[in-house]
Amino acid sequence: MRNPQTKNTRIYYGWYIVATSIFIAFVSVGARQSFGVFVLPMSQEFDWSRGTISLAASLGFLVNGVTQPIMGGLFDRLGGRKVILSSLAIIGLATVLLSLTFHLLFLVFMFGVVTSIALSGSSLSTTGALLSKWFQRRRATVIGLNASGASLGGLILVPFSMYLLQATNWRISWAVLGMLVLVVAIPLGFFFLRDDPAQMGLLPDGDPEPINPENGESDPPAKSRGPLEVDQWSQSLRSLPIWQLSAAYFVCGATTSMLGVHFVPYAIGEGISPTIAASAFGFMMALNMVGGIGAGMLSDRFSSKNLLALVYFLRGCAYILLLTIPGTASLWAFATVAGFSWIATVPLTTSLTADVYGLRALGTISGISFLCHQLGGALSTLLAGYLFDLTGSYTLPFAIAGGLLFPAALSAFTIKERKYSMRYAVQQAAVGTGG
Amino acid sequence: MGWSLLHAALAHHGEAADPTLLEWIKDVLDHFLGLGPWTVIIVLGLIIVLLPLGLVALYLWQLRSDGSRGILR
Repeated sequence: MRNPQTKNTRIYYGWYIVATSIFIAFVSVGARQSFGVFVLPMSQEFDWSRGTISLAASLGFLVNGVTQPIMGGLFDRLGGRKVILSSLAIIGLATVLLSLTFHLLFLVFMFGVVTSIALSGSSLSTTGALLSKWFQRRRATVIGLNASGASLGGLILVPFSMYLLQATNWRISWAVLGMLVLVVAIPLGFFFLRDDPAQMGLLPDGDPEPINPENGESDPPAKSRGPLEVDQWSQSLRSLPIWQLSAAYFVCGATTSMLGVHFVPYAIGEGISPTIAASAFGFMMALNMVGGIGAGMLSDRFSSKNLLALVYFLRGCAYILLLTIPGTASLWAFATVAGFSWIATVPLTTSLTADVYGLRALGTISGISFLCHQLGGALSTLLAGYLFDLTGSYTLPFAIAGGLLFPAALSAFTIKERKYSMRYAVQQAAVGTGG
Repeated sequence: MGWSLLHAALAHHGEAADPTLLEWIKDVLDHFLGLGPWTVIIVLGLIIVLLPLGLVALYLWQLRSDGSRGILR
């Protein structure tokens, strides 16, 4: 039992969980994003084409999506600590082993299969589900902070890998990245990660236990149950919100992955220099951290589904700007508007899923949504490539992607959050009891 | 047809880590920092290692200043 007098001076333990999750996202996602750095030196040494070596990354994208619900299921059954730490151990070991690459199949298996499965266990979905247990009122804020850790990994760890490669070689660089996960991230996770605040005698958000006025003793709060709260993930599939969220998330994956792959080639095709295209894309990636954290903070104060709809709507407008404004200005306009929306969907979708379906099967349910996200990404990239080959232009695939964002916004907007979200159920219960 | 379509998708998708973007990031860093690779590696490496060490230090400092029995169990 906590001493109530210390509640204002101590940092709530959940914030250590947040910081640890951010670091885990930073290292594991950063190490993975560094793959691009290794494409050229590895393909030169082994005489592989870029397309061939990219097979590992592409397969990994699909494997990561497909295994997400499975890892989510393990999370729900075994708890976050075991799943996340085991996944980190596998990511670290497999990354070190990549330094021994001798054949394309070894690379495809180690990067495309092993690390991709393990990455599902330490992904933003899994750590987001863990954070949802530690925070209720500030849930979206902390998930937004967590998502920014992944962006930070791209901003710091990718340049770190580039310089490491310049100073040494690709084998040493892979080994160093793997060791960072094994020697830094795992001990930190082992030290701090705990499955649930109840394990430490704490309540979500660090709230004090209410005092019973009759006997003056602390009184554990009665747990209210939301109208759609589930014990099994399969129960969620019988309700509308999971489909609305997943359909919108599918479009999210489609519109981000397509741009991630085709933004620079599109700009070059429009006669814009690769350097300007790359700087606009880099600017957009920097803005996404602001968007992710900002969306999370706003979501804890305002309706999550309205914000989610707004984010999709803004991204749709960004696509229109990209296709209608001529020249370089279109890139900067797109980067500015879309940058804020890039990862803002992550905290909003995960926190809304937790608020509607509760925490018991959140790992699996979030995994299902994330699977839809990855499928959208894979299919859109296929479509964009196919349509480009067919028409010689990115206009049609970008127009389709942009057009899909408006139904996605509508899908999010029509979620009956006030009816189904636990947030509102708790507020109504508090009003009902005069709390 | 199926395989070639899948391969096209995979190849397109694999280009996500665009070398142009990576080259641009490195050029910008070189321009602003003007440091040798080992200096950048040491600075970034220190940041990466000091972040978790700082977190542990903060937690242990808080435990000590609280005089609490701690939560590491």
